[in-house]
This record gives sequence, C-alpha cells and structure tokens, in this order.
Amino acid sequence: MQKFFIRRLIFAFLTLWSITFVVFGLSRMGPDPLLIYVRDDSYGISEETLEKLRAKWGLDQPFHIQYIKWMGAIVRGDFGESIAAQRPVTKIIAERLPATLQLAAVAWILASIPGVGLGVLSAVKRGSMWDYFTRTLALIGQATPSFWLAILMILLVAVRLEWLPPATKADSTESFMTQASYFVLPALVLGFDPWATYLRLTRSSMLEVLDSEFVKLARAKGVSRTSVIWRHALRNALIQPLTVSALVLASFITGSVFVETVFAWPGIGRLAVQASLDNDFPVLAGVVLLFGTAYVVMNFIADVLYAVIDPRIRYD
Amino acid sequence: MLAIAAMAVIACSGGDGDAVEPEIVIQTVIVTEKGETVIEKGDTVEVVKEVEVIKNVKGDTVVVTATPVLPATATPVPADKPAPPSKSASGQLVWSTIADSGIGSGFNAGNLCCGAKMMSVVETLFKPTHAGGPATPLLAESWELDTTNSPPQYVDVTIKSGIKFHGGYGELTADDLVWNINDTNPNLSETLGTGNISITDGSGTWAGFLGANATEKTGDYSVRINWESFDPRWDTWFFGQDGLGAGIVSKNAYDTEGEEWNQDHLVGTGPFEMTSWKRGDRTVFTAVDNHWRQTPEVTSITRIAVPDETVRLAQLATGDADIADVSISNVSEAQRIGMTAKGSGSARMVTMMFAGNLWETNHPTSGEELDIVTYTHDLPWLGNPHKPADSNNPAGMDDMEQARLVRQALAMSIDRDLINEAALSGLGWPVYIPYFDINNPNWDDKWKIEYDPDGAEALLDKAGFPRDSSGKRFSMPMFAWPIGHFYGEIGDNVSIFWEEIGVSTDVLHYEYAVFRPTLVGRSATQAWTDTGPLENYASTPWDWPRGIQMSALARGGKSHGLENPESTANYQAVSGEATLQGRLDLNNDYADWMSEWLPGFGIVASPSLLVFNPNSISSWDMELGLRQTSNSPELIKLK
Repeated sequence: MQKFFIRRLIFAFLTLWSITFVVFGLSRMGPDPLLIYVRDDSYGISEETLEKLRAKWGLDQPFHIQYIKWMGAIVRGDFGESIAAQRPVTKIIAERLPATLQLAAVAWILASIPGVGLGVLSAVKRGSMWDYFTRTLALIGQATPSFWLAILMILLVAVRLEWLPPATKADSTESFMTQASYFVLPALVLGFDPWATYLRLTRSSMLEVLDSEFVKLARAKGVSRTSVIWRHALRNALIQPLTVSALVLASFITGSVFVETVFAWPGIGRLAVQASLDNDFPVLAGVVLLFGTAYVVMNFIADVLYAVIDPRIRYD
Repeated sequence: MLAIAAMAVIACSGGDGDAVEPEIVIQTVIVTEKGETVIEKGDTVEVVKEVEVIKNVKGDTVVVTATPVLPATATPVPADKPAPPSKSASGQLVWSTIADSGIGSGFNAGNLCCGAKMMSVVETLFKPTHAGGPATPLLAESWELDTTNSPPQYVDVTIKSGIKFHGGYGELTADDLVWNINDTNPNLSETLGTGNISITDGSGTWAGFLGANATEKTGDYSVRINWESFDPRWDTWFFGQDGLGAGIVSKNAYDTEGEEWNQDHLVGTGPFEMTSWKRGDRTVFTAVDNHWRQTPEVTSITRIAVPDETVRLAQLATGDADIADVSISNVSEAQRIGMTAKGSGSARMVTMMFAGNLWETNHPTSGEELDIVTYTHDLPWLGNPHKPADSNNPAGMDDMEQARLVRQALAMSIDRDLINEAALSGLGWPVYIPYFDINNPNWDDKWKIEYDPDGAEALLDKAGFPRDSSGKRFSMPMFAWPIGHFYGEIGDNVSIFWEEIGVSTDVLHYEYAVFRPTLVGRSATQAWTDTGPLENYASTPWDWPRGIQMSALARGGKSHGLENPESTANYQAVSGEATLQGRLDLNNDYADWMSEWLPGFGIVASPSLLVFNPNSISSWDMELGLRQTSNSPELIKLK
C-alpha cells in the first residue's frame, strides 16, 4: 500500500510540474513576451519604458531563470499581479473561488442524490418501463451538450414559465430563498451529465451486487426486500460512485468555465474566460494551475480510495 | 429525446400579446457653424441641443474642430408583445452588461477607460462627449491656448471651484488635476503620480502627446498642461468625457486611504458614486444628492456582468434587467419583446484591411531600416514597391499597380447595402474608404465605390488574373474573427461576393488573440475585417489626424498590419497643423489618396445601441457620443 501511495504521489507531482512547464513555456513562445503584458495601443511608449516593463516582469532574463523564479513564487503562493486589475492574482482567485465551490456543492447534491436514487430504481426494476425510462434519461443526460441545455433551460424555465431567474448570482443581501433560486438552473446544468453518470454507475453496481451470493443469502434468511436493497446491496454498490465523486467534484471546478459564462456566475470559470480575453497571463496561469491541481489532487484521492476499498488494485 | 425536443419547441415558440410599436432613438447631428449644434429629425425623434462655450482663442491659432454627422437610419421593428413590468425596486435600475471591465480601479492609471466616465462617476475637463464642435467645459471653467508658439505648446486651464469629491474627500483643486494628468502620462506616472507605470487606455497615445512634460499647478484652481506635440484633439479626445481618459479622481483619497483601498474604490466628482464593486460580477452606482451640475432622478443603477447575449435578452424579457447591452444584430430581437433602442450617436466603421502592404522602407522618426517580411510570395493583393518588377505583372504594369487594381476590384465587388441589410438589419450604412464617414458634411461622393461586379471582373482581367478552367482567378485568406462574432459575419458576407468574381476566399475564423501577434510583428499577409482605432468611429471629426495605424510610426504595437508613407505624412502633418482649414484640406487629400490606392476599404458602419425597458425608463437624452454606446445616466427619466 505504501509503495502504491508513493508511486501515485510522485506521478501527481510530475503531472503538476508538467502543467507549470507547459503554462509558462507557452507564454514565452511568442516573438516578444512583453506583448503578453502590453496592450494593443502600446505604440508611442518609449524604449526606456518598455525596458522598464521588461525588467519589472523579469522578461530581460534567460528563459530558465524566469521559469525558476516564477516557480519559486508559485510555491510561495505568489502568482504575481493581474495586468488588467493590477491586484495580486491570489487575492482575485480567493474572491472568485467561493462562488465556484458553492455552485459545485449544489450541483453535486443535485447530481448525486437523484442519480443514485434512480440508479437503484432502474436496477431493482430491471427490464421494466422504469428501467427503460431512467436509462433513456441517462443517455440524454450524457449526450446533451451543456451549452444547448443551458440556453434551453433559460428559455423554458426562466423566460416562458417564469419559475426561476435566468442568470447571475443573487446579492448576499437578498433573502435565502431568493439566493437559492439563483442556484437552481446553473447547478442543474452543471450536474446534468454527472447525474447521468451516477445513475448508470449505480445501476450497473447494483445489478452486480443484487446477483451476488450474500444478497441471495440475505433473502434466503428472510431479510425484508427494503432492507436487502438499501442496507445490504446499496452500501456495497456505492463504492464505485463514491470514488468517482472525487473526479466529479474536480470536473465541477474545471467544467465551470462554460456554465459560469452562460449563467453569469461570478466564479473561477468566468475569471478564466475573462483573463483569456484580456491577455491577462498571470491570472490565466493561476487559474490553469488551480484547475490542474484540482484534477491531480482529486485523481490522486480517487486512486487512493479505490486502493483502500479494493485491495486488488493496490496489488496490481 | 422527445421530451427535450418538446422543451425546445415550447421554449422557442413565440408569445402572445398585442403588437406594440417600439421607440427607436438615434441622434442625427449637423453642425452648421462654430458654436452651434443642431440635431435634425431622425426617423422617430427630434432632439435639439445647445452647447454653451466659454473659450478664449487668441491670435491666429484656431483649434476648433470640424463636425461629425450621424444619421438616423434605424427602422422600427414591431413588437410581438409589450415589454414586461420591471422587477427592480422603485427608482432603481438593473443594467445587464457584457463585462464589468472598464470601470477600472480607483486610481488614475487604471480608471481612465470608459466605464467610469460613461457611468458619470468621474468627470473630465470638457463636455459634451460629442467629438466635434468647440469643446464645452465640464470641470473646466475657462482655458487659454499658448499663443506665443504655433502650434501651441501648452494650455492654461482654470477649473470650477466648489466641486466636491464623493465620500467627503474634499474639494477638487489644481493639485488633483496635476496629479491625475501626470499619472496618466506613462513617462511621469512613476515619479509624479501613483508610482505605477501607466498602462491605461491609450497609454502610448498619451506618451506621444505629452512626452515627458509635466502638468504644472499655477494656482489653487488653475494648471498649465504642457505637451510634446500639439494635437487638435487635445480637448475632446484627451480631456473629454468620451475621449481617451483623464477622468479626475481624488488625490486626497489616494493619499489617506492608500493604494490597496483605492484599487477597490473610485472617488470622483460625477452625479453617480460607485458604492459597491464586486469584480467580474456587479457594480452599484448610487445617485449623488444635490450634485453640482445634475442630480439624477434614478436612485441607483446596478450593472451586472452577463457575458452571454442570449441571457441578457432573457433578462430583459423577464423584467430582471431594465437596460441591456446588445449587439446590433440583436437590436431588432429586443424590439420584438418591447424594448426601446437608444444610442449616443457612436458608430463603428467596419473595414477590410489588406495587411502585409508594407510600403515604407525606413522608420519615420528613427530613420532605421524597417524589417519587412511579407513579400516572400507574390500575392495578388500585396503591392511590392521594394521590388516592383516580377514575373506575373502584365506588360507595362508594375506590382504596385497590379495589386492596386486587385484591391479596387475586391472593393467594387461587394454590395454594401445588401450586407447592411443582412448583417445589421438595415441599421447601419455603407462605408467606402477607411476613416471617412459618408454622413459627414465634408464627404464627397467622388470617394464612393459603386457596386460593380462586372467592372471588378474587368479589372482583375486587366491585372493579369483571368478565370481558369474552374472559374477561379486566385485564392486568398481572410481573417474574420471567431464564428458568431459580428465582424466574422461581415467577413463571411464579403467572401460570398468575392467568390462571385472568381476569387476563392479562405475565411479564417479564430480568436483575435491568435491573429494579433502577426499584426504586431508585421508579418500578416491576409485581408481582415477591422474596425480599427479612433479614426474608424464614424463621428470622428473630419479634421482629426488619421493614418497612425497605417504608418510605421506604430511599429512595436498593433496596427492594421500595413504601412505606407502617405499615412505617416498625413498623420504627422494634420497633428501639427494649427488651422482648421489646413487640417481639412490635408485630410481631403488623404481621402483622395485612400480612394485611389485602397490599402483597405470600407464595408459598413454599425451604430452602437443599447436597449431598455420603456416600463422602467421614459426617456434618456444622452450627450452626443464619440466611442461609447451610452453616457450620462443622470439624464435618465424614469417611467
């Protein structure tokens, strides 16, 4: 187990290091890296000022020195200063991260509880209309592009039916119910595909467990059907969906780029889009590293969870 | 799938309700003589504005600017249903906007751009935002240009006394003005301003204008602004409410609260105070009671950043937003749900630029030989003055003339009126040559390029590019922005016309950020749709300098990707010309040259409009604008 853990840890660090190298390397591949920092209308700025800017951002130094310094700062939690906002990137990310995490949490609840519930229903009612219906829903969930679904939900639920507000996050001064109403649409869209994943995973796990000997034994002993399903079978069947949850949560953070942009949600995803449009390399680098770290860490947790739960994996 | 399809049908189906005639207001302006502004009747509204001018001009130095004209071409679209009731609280408005960028941080280097002035949080020396006509004072009380030198080298400005900053940060004085202007200047901001290198809107332009000359305090309420090179746009462009910047913020607030606090706050003197700012999300502007010039009727405006236009329209449809920024192609969509369209008069001219035509050999100021890399291949639309003879030129024709005929043909082959109808719903108007708008009284129809596909084909034959057996003459690439972008649609439209005359067009739809380095590096060789700099705003006064982005003067920065000595000469000559008539004559000559050589050509002009809910706002008589879609929210009258 220890060997497995160390191997995975090294792999995670190597992945993270590769991400930093790619992010930094790409930013220095242009003819003049200063152009990343200086805006369109920079003509007219004296050479002296340009040199000052180069010195300020360390662009007058060799690539490897720039990289080492940049990495040193990253390790200390210093992502530099945003070009557009002239503020520390760490501070900007810290302001935007809570909104993304809140949305991710709500989306996870909306995806996991109905996903698992319908997965159980589908497995228990195998071959019935319920089974076909939930499997069709799962297929739709995985096949529907979120950009289309988002617009459709806005048009239908917000504009036509007027049940929910179309977009944005409510101000914190609003009532709890008002604030909650703004979460529903973006969380539903963000969680739609993972919901289908939960459903399918739970269904297949449940079918496997329901066919196992211990379930047959429990039935033979006269344990009630409800107890067999919810106490014995589901607890075992949840292992796979639970480990996948780590990756689902990571995907909520990285996958927030689109949903946050459409729903005007003031989180990390929108920050990434705006930083791209602004040529704001320090912010973009910070967000990309955050995304990368989230995925690597969650992947690591998932790997470890698998190994803890299933000994066969760690002995492979 | 059926369920989803049913949802789509329900969502997309039209609504019921009575048809309501929407209101469209676009201002038309014709200035007939100095100091007088008359706004003519457009399709739906007539507005007359009078401009009060306090100006001292001595000697022969006359620096009033010529006048723009903006047409009212919008056609009202019948509404399918009445506008919804607003969900905003009484006296408050919600504005759904593209992004909150542009509000800027609370010190000058960061706040110079558009949002803070557009929302009337900060003010400048002059108003109105109208680009033409004599500048009208805002913070300025009076001013006097240098009469000892021609062109003038400075201006003495006296500001009004008794103007208070928001939040109790004291009275506006000459100290604030000096600190702000010096901070705006990239050459001085580190030593005389906030200590930061200025990366403000147009920093390079500021650097060229002011040089290393500091603005000096000459009294409690008076300053002398010294510049490096006179620019006839000094008042309305550099120190105007819709110009490059120099919105004045409180030095006292910066000194007492520090830089970090000022990064999140904006202390100005305008009719609205920025009372809350959540970056990337929303900004709240609260009306200032008993403001020195105009107390708003609105109590607060909340601007919420909503990047997706469909969602902004949805917010209008549900009453969640009272005002929204929409692209020109969606204005009619907003009208159909009962909204009113409105603009400040600002319009952008979309042009086709033939990047790679680098005709200058030496840098205009340094004299250094320019690095020219675009003539590796003999491309039909690129004229090569450095090696004019090549193998495919028809007899007696050099490469410059051959390429000129090709560009003329390409310009003649497009039906601008049809593109206006298709891409702008008829809200725009044709543009023939870059930088010169057809609605300006100085426009001459000799510069008009008629739609003549047969003539275009004849020119291409003459240039040595006959159709081959497959009907093609040659292929050319065109950068046309990402799919869905307004300029991209224009590019697609143009390519259809080019295909008709046998020019196979490879329309490249990708992010500008990818294309931009080739412009900066002067290595781009394709045509591209561009709205360009200040000169491509339709309301740019006729006498303002033109050509900087077609000049090697702009080397090191982004430009149209083409360079020629004529543009350099015109920009330098007009910038240094003190007389109005002299500047007009120079620009008329430049238009002649542009019309003949067409380093780029015009396609259509697109007016900037926003839409608002008539159940929230009964009227909004904006100041006349140069580049901002809207201004002066203090003039909003609530329903």
